[in-house]
Amino acid sequence: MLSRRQTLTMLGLGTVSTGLMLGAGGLWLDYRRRWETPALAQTLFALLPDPDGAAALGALWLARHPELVASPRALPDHLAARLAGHGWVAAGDGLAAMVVAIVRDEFRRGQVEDVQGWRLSEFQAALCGLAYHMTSLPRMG
Amino acid sequence: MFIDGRQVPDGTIIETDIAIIGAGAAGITLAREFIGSQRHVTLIESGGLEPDEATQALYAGESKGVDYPLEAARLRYFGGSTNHWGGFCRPLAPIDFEARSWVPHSGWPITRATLDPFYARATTICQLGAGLTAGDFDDSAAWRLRAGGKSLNWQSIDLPGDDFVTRFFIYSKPTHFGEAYGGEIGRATNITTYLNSNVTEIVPDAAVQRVERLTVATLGVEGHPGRRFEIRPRMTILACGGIENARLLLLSNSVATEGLGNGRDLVGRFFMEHVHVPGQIALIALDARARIATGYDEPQVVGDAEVRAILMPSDAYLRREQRLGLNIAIYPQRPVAEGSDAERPVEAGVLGLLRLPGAPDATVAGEATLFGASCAAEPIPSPDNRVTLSTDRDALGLPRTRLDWRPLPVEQRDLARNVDALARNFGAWGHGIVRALFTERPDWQDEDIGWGNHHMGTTRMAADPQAGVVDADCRVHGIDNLYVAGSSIFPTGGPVNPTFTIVALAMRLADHLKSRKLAG
Ligand SMILES: Cc1cc2nc3c(=O)[nH]c(=O)nc-3n(C[C@H](O)[C@H](O)[C@H](O)COP(=O)(O)OP(=O)(O)OC[C@H]3O[C@@H](n4cnc5c(N)ncnc54)[C@H](O)[C@@H]3O)c2cc1C
Repeated sequence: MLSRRQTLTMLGLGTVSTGLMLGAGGLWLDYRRRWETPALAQTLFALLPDPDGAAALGALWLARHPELVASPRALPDHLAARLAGHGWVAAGDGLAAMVVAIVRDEFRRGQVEDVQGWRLSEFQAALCGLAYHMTSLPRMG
Repeated sequence: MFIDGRQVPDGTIIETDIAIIGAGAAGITLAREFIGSQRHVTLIESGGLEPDEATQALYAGESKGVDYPLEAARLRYFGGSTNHWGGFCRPLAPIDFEARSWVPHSGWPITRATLDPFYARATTICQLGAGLTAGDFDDSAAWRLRAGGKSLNWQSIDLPGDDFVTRFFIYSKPTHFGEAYGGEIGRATNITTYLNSNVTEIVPDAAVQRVERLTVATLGVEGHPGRRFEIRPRMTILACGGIENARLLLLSNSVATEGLGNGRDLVGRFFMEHVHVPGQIALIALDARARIATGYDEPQVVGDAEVRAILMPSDAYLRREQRLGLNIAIYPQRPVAEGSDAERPVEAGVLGLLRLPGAPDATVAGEATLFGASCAAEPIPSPDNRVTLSTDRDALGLPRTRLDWRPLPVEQRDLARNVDALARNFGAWGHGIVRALFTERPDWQDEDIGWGNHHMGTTRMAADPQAGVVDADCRVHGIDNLYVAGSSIFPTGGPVNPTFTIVALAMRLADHLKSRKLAG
């Protein structure tokens, strides 16, 4: 079994994440320090059957979206806004179904991201970005 | 009867009703149609019954643009390129025959309905199975019925919306036309086949209204010079393949200096190929055998037919988006688990997205497969893509072929956009995620381009002599007794392999010739 670090190194993502950190400058450190994982982000993260795999995709995607790395809230807010746009009001059992519906809808509308050739819906890509953040954070508590 | 042209005395003149130049899919189909008729047919074939290097080398040439293997992309002996074809058969769709505002130079002077009865007949000579009709290529219900109550191993890829539909290839054995039909052609008392005999010029009368004679040459053997003889046909059919048909018309320039049928500088122009983008499109799906690819990933045997499902953009999509056509065949590449160390984590991430709770495949167990998707794209006929004569000469002293083929930027754009649409449809369906390394760019990159060995368009069909080399009957405009058979007459090539249509058109031409009185 490969460690997460080994996996990302193999993907050449050691460099990507370093690049992200450097690109975001001091903000990155700030991000790590101040991160309070919002409940929604935790719940979304918990949906992922393979968080490390999603993180691998997420790192690739984030490398092209530095604006979502620049602020600690940007990515969770981005996901929350998309959920709200589809009528999401509070956490609950319907979240998984809502995510699937959003993904389908985005594919239908052509809201698609190219992640090393893989065509993901914007929400899927952002979810993977979230997985990258969550698995990069120091464990707390 | 077969005669080796190398045994024919120099200067011999052979009279015949119908001369067919070239014994490939088109020439053999035509010759067969005349077995037992009152007309004497002379079939003239460059090669022998087996391949030989010296004859094959006559196909070598020069390519500009795409570095195209002119020698390897065709075979020059009895049976022609069917000696190594793959046997993929599918008719052109009705839309392929239409003049479409978004496809320059599109529009056949005949419709798909004209060809339907000939497609049905072509299923027999291509050995696709008994009792098939042109409609069977589009209709999965027909295959379920045909399976005769046995369970057909089939799972439709029912992408949502109407952008993509399932269609079918039906496989030929693949029939090697020379081996399959050489026996009956050899036994036919009204057909004489000259092997190892190259037609070097089609010579018309001074007014360039009728073909008078064909000059024939053989390659020399072991120090013996080649032979030269003549055939005087009442009717001639040129059936040398999609590139050589144009070359031979251009070589036929002793009377009409610009080449025969080339008064409007159209011979050799509008060359088309089906571009493929090998290795660039893939798809990950879970529980693949049961859920997605069965029936698509490999041929299914149904009775005496072998069929394979493919995806194609629907007519509605093509019209709405104003796109060129495409055919997408899916094949398994490897289990996802067997990816390289670099591939595995990313592919695991993709799989995870398919298994999100609530997704259609959330609870599907079993292996996941990485499929390749082979996409063959419809080309646009362009006058700048063309066959001309090189300054180099072959062993018979004739100028070799020069092929100048560069796929157009708009073909790149449409293929990339069609693949995007495919990816979106799979995503919305939820049973697979597409990877496309082939993206929209301003032009083609050399490494993008693969091809199908399908040579089309160089003697295109058009009702108007200003727009094409042959008319709707396949007759060279202005020349009463000269016809062309093969994919060189396709004004557009559609997105599917050409031979089934070549055979259907050859049968139609045979019917036309049978109904014509022979003059002269
Ligand atoms: C590797 C490969 C795979 C293919 N797979 C498929 C497939 O799966 N499905 C499909 O539809 N198509 C396929 N094709 C294309 C198919 O082989 C051709 O479309 C078909 O053979 C063309 O038929 P034709 O009679 O026009 O030409 P050909 O079959 O090429 O026959 C032309 C004949 O003319 C003869 N000739 C040439 N010049 C002269 C001359 N000057 N004098 C006398 N004789 C001459 C040649 O020796 C040859 O026998 C494939 C081709 C290749 C190379």
